[in-house]
Amino acid sequence: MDLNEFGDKLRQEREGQGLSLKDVAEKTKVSRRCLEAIEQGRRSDLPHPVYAKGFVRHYSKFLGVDEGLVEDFLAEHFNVDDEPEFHRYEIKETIAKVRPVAGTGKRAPVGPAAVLVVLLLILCGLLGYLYFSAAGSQFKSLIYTKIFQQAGPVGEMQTPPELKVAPSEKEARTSRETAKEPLRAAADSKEIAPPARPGDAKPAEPEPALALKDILPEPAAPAQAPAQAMVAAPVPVPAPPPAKEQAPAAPGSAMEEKDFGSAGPLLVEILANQACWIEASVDTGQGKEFYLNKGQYLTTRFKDKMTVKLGNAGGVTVRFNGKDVPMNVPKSGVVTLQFP
Amino acid sequence: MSRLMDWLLGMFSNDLAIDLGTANTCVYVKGKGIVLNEPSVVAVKKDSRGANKVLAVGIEAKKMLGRTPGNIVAIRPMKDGVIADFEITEAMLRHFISKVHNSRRLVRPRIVICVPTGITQVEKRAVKESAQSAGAREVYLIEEPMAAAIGANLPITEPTSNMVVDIGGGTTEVAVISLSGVVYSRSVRVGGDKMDEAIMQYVKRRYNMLIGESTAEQIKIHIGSAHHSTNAGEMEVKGRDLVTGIPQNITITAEEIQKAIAEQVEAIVQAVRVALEQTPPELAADIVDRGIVLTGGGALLRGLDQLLRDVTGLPIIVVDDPLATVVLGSGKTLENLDVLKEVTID
Repeated sequence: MDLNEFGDKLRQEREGQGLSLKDVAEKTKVSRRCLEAIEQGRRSDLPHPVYAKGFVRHYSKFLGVDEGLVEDFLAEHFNVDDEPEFHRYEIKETIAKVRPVAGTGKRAPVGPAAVLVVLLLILCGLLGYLYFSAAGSQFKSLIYTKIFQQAGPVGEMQTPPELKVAPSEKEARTSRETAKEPLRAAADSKEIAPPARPGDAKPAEPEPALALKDILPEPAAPAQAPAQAMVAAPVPVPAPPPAKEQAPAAPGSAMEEKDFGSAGPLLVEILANQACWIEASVDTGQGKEFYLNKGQYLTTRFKDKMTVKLGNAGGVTVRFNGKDVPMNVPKSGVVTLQFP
Repeated sequence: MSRLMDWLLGMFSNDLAIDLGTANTCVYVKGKGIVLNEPSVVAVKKDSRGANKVLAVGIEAKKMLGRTPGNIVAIRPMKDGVIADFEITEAMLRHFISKVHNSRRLVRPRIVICVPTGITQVEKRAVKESAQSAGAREVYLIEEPMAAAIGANLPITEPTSNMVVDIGGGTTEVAVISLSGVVYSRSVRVGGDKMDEAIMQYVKRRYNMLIGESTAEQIKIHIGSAHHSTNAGEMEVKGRDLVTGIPQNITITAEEIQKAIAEQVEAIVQAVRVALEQTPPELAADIVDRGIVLTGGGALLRGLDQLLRDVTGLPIIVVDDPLATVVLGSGKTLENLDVLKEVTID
């Protein structure tokens, strides 16, 4: 049943009961304009469907029209549930006008699947990071070794820290002494005259310079030590007493120290996987101590004999002429090696 | 961090709209519709140590109303549209939320709750906090007449006036709404409950008989009427004689009930009248054309529309499903929370 048919039906019913529109409007309180619109099926003159529905229902009830029929008609033509779309649209429009910058359109709804994907990605990233950060230390030492092997002199920079410490101590001592001297000089000069100060201080200057000179050979020697070559078969041998005897027998002069492990056809390389204390003596020279930190390298060249005492034999890899020296010793075991 | 968790879990939660009414609580689940409509009654058992234990909520609890032994109390935690017993309300909300949420305790829903207009800040806070402690992630409050207007599909966003009268259990809300805002609103603390009370009083006075709340409500539902044209039928009522103390039966007619509740009905009519007086003239002109929309359980009272029509001379429209209108409106707000946020209050 369309709007016109239903309107006609209502009008016939009303006329059948001998009622005028005015009577009906008075009783139902629905305006005459609306009643006419209902009877003539003009939907445009009716207010919003919710109201129109109420009017039609009430008017029909007033006339006593079959309720089932009315409800069917209303469900067909005044279905309010169709309205929400329109309703929502209206609201959006209003907001868009009132708030110009409030939001940039509607965001696409993020489903649980998207979240899952994001979570997986985060997990992958985390795993990757953990893997590479674990591999990183090995990686670094590899690079380090490469550089070291390629450029001998560069390796000199990698002197064991202890070797650096010793000179710095000496330096500190000398600098302290030099600092004292000007003070003394200043104290002396106080009695004389202020302009004399710089003059007094001058003689103090050469002294530290001299002291530094004295020290210089020392850091130089260990610095060269790693770069030295040695040749011999890697044979784990108990520390040979002669070697030790030799060391004290030959009181290591500055010159000898300077040359420590710097020349020779044989080469011993020691790579520290863990911190390790090393005492090495080359040929007939005096023993020298090194302390390698993880990843540090010691390369020594010698002519015919070398003795190495490792404080942490499990923590180092020793290579003699490029070949690994087998060392089946427990961690932190003390081992003395003799080459060849 | 907890925010992030909330957001993540929020994707799996069902947002809820709750019409926390004095008489009935309706729960609307986003995407599902109304899933729960139960009386706002909680039965609490006091154990030997004096601690309260919730025994039953909703329909079960309502059956116990007025039929409990000494250690059990059936409570209606809402009074006059607001929370009267904070803890019990929280327990009730928790029960309803877990009921519709199927024991998914980890996820916390967003909740839209309807409140009467003109409730105090304290009362608002009580509602918000009880919902939060019952497991809500976010709580939005919406005024009942606004929710009713949205639920009734009224064109609230248009610059024309819509007059809504929502007669609930505890309060009657009258509001004029235009352009998504409340132009005028008034809340009177008269509703279905007061009518029940009036019926109890009337029976007590007239027949010297005591009847319970539930019985009074049944009388109102079956033969209650607000207008003489709809007075029809009579009902057999069981209760206790005050003089003899013996349970007995009486028959009560619709006319009597109309008389009994006349005072409450008059209060509602008065509220509507005052609202009409206060409405700006342009909007009043619209109301003449379109009339007043009745929602809420009170709209089901026979003859109320006819009475208002007579008194105001305006067309009166009763919505299709008055009991669910408010919760439907809240649900619609929930579905379009980004759009309709402005109708919520804080």
